[in-house]
Amino acid sequence: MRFPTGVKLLDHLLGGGVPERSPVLVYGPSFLGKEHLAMQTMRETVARGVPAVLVLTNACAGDVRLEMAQADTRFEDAERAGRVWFIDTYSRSVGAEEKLPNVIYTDSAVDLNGISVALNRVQGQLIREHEQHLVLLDSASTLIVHTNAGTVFRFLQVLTGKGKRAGASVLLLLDQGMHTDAEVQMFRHLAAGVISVRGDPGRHQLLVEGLGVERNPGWIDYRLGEHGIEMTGSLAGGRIR
Amino acid sequence: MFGVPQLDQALGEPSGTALLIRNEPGTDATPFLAQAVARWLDGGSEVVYLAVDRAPSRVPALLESWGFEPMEHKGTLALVDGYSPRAGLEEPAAYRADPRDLEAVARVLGDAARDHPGALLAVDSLSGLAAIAEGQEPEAAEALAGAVRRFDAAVALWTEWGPAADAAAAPLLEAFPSVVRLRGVAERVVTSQYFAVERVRGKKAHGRPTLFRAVAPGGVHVYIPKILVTGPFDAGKSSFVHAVSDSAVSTERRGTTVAMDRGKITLHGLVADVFGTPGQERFDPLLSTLASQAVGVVLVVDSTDTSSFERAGMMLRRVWQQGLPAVVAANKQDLPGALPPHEVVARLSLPTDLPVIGCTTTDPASARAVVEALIERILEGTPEGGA
Repeated sequence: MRFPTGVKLLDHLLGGGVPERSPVLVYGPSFLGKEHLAMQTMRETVARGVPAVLVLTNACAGDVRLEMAQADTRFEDAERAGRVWFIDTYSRSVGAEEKLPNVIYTDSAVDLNGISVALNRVQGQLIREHEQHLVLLDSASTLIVHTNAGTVFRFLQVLTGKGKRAGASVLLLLDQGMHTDAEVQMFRHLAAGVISVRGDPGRHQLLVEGLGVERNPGWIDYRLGEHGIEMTGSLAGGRIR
Repeated sequence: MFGVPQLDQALGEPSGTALLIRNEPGTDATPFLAQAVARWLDGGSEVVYLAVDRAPSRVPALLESWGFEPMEHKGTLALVDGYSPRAGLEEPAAYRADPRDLEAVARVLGDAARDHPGALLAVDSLSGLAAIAEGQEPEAAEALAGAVRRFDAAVALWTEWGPAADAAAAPLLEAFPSVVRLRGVAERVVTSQYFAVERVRGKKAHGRPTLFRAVAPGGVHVYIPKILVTGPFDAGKSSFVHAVSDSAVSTERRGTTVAMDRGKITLHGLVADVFGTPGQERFDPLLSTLASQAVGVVLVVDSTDTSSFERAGMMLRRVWQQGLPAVVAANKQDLPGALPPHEVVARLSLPTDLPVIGCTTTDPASARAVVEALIERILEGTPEGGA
């Protein structure tokens, strides 16, 4: 099964969603909806019976799960069924002592191996009942800021490689403007495809590269609506109309 | 140093030891560090703890997560905050050093060594510090290495993020002439962990791979791993267990196994218990339980009985779900009508690309070759092939 993004037109373009066992880079400037796209994909995936693990570097799991539950009534059912997992590297680093079920807290985003150990622990449980799962990292940029691009690249190589063996697709969020071109190129090579966003005041656009898209329509318009990303361009014969 | 005899005997006297624990990503070295710190404090000695991967305020919680209460010990824990200066924060700690400046870290550690004679230095983690301080002059790394040598003993964690990270941190790594490697048994995820002593005070060691579990409370516990031998009814599992084991026992009724066969084997330096399961379907729930405790699985298939292959595939999928390394023994190769291993592969719907090796239990060497293949798979990636 592909992992649906919950964005109808994008899922159509992707042939159903993010391909299985594939690392995907979600790249673009801040505040243009990368997180929305990731969260939508997570909500849609768990609602369809497939588990997902969200690695957080900038927010507390408690806050994010609340937002998710408010955005989609199916989310809490998925949580109760054990399909929703968080690895929270943020809460402990800011002194928050929350303790929620299905959340593994690590002490900081510097401790990359702590994330690896936590993810392995979750995946060890998931593979017993599910052939596939989704891993989302929000964001790779924060990890790079805490350590360096080379170490994070190697960390992500291991994470995506092990992910494939465990049946996972991995969505990696990377912020434009925080890294050199060479670093961005390095992370692009890690992925099976890239979903990029760009925007001017009043106009947001999205581009899919790779991921099995045969007739690429180029940049497609979207807007950030109440329920996240909504495509406003349309596809016809591989072109935007 | 750790209270783990297999490790302590190999490493020798703690005083004067500077040990690097090199762990594969996904394996957890923190229980070793916590255990060393707790034992040092228990003996009434002092510990200087350089916290880079976590805030100093999280260090007691880390130690407690492995069952060690730092405040209940006789010795003193002096924290060096190598975490929060980078973020412009301030944490209560005896010492403070910006991890982006290795010379500053070296100076602070030098002060701590002077203030705490006879102390153990714990570095959590050296790989984190090297990543943050990337690109510094070799002289800075050498200054830090010099500061490490001023302590009575040192333990540092190093996650292996690749040769480039090793090369960049070479002067730092040389400050630790004793090395223990942690490896994971990982077919799909890390299902078990083992350690091997690689170097002691600069001399190459050939420590055998030793499986361990980290439990709280208690820390690192060494155990004898289990190899599970399973397969359909009458595939020859009991004969297989006896053929591969140095010694073995079986519980049979009317010629079939009604409880587990059990043996012991030593291969590649790894000592393991071998458990053979009964093949009848009514024992299937037991299979999942046993698989959850095993380090690897041999599926024994009767190469002359294709009608049993569907059942064999089902059994294999059950253990494969646990993420365990496995090999298939295409047994009874000496009998007329036996399919060669490549045909067994073709007819057996395997969930993944597993090795299938022909054998006959009347030839113990051929059966041991199957277990050998499994152990190689378990220890895949181990330096020197796990020997």
